[in-house]
Amino acid sequence: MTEQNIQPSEPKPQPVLDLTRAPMPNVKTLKARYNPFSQFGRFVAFNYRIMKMVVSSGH
Amino acid sequence: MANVVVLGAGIAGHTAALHLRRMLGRHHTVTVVSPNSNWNWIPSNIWVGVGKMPKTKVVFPLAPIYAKKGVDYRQAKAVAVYPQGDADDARGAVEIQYTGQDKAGQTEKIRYDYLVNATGPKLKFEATEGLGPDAGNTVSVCTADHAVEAAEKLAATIAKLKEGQPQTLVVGTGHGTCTCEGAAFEYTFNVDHELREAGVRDLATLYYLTNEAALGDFGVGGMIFNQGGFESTSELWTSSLFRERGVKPILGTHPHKITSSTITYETLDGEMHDLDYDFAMLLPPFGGHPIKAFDVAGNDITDQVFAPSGFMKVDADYTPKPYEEWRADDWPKTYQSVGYDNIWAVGIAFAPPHQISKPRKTPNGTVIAPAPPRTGMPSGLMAKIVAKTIVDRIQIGPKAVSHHVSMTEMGAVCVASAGTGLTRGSAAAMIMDPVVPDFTKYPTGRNLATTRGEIGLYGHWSKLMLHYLFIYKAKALPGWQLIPE
Ligand SMILES: Cc1cc2nc3c(=O)[nH]c(=O)nc-3n(C[C@H](O)[C@H](O)[C@H](O)COP(=O)(O)OP(=O)(O)OC[C@H]3O[C@@H](n4cnc5c(N)ncnc54)[C@H](O)[C@@H]3O)c2cc1C
Repeated sequence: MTEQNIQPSEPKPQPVLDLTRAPMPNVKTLKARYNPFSQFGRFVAFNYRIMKMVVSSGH
Repeated sequence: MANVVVLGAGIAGHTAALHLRRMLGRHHTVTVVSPNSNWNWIPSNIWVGVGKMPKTKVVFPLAPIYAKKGVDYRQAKAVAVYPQGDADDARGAVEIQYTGQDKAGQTEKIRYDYLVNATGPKLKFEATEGLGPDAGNTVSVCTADHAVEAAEKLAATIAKLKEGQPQTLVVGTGHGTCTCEGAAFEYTFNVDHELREAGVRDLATLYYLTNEAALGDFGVGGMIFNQGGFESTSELWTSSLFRERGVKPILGTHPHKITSSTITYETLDGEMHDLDYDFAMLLPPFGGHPIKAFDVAGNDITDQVFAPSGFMKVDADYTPKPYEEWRADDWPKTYQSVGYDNIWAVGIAFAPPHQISKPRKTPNGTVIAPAPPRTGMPSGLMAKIVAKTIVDRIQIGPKAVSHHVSMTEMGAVCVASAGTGLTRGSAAAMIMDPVVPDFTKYPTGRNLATTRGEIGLYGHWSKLMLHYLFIYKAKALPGWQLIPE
């Protein structure tokens, strides 16, 4: 994935990183990203982590 | 009675001033010197830069807040420091030049007992020929006004796409030594979202042109995440995100010259390339502001007080050494200046001891080395601990122990959030804890329990919440001090 490929279709070829082997999300993941219930849980967990970090840095 | 002077009213300076005023009795003075009359919540400039938020929602005037709180506000910029005093007075002094308050251009020397330098970055667009709004080619989102211009130009590009004209958009870094790649990443995410909302994504080519040698480096050498029972990387996470959105990354770049239509850049292999574009948002490299320092006899001692980058030297270990040999312990803890125990530098204004991301050179000798980011949360926290140190010095005496916090203990939050409303937005949210990896404490350099990269609607809620919370805090509304930095 870190190999560079020259894309001939560009007007001037650019050394664009090849991302064809990067993982793509499946339908389940895409749906979960917008599910308000699971997102609410993640929202709470994310902000809990921020608060944990804030407390451990000596606020 | 003590006089405390704070230079700068950004995230760091404003935080320091509010805490100093809160903790010190009114017989002590707190003076803020800052050339801009407005406070700006810079992270939300990204939304202004795509036209999703008006400028008025990210800035507010400082003068009324300072008048209410009893802070002496000078709309001026610091041009020189006299840390040893001068022939007239043994107390330290700062020479300021007014930029407003009906005194624009006038200079004045103000005395201090304690000085906090929180002047942030000088945006060095001049480092690359043709870079930045003044040259008229590329746009920026570093200030609210820059972001307004960026939104206008992006709207014009989208209008052309709607007419069926293919357009090339470039987002990234305008120099090999830039920092703040997280902001470029956020803007890319937002531009992609705008193009999709306008129904023109197919006609647009979107490049992410960056000085990072690997995706997900973010100027911090990348991150390791704990994901689904595996150790994953910020490189994989960013690659997936860009693949999904059809963003074309070009890595390890240093733009040499920018014209109205072409970006000429060099890559790490030493090759030169021309990229034709229609719209480009490229960040500038940061340096310190050109503030001079003089000794009591008027001799120039700028190089003793400031690093060559223009940032102030503090209690870091600046001994030159190979990249591989740096240690977490090299990073400053008290932010006290070198040689003067009544001066501190916080936020972006302090000189970092070294790069976090590995610096590289092309075969032609061009340096491509992402500079260390000094993000919002650490900037605020440094400011708070310095305010506490000053209060202790005043109340307990010169022997009071300095408060300390290092960037190897402080984390950062970066949320690339796009869209509007509570149900239609999306975001890529990252927590990096700490910013500077500490391999003596964590095998991966960072705390795997808190360091995260995730995508979802909730990140959009978090970014909105942070926007309103920090503006509430900066306006010093009731209970502001309970909101952490
Ligand atoms: C587009 C963008 C998005 C970002 N997003 C995030 C994010 O999501 N999360 C995050 O943690 N960080 C983010 N950051 C970084 C964050 O904005 C900085 O960490 C923070 O602003 C640093 O605070 P500071 O007070 O050091 O500098 P600044 O906020 O830049 O403040 C500097 C102050 O000094 C004043 N000044 C300048 N020259 C002088 C002088 N000569 N004399 C006196 N005063 C002077 C300025 O007017 C200003 O008031 C982002 C940055 C950018 C550009």
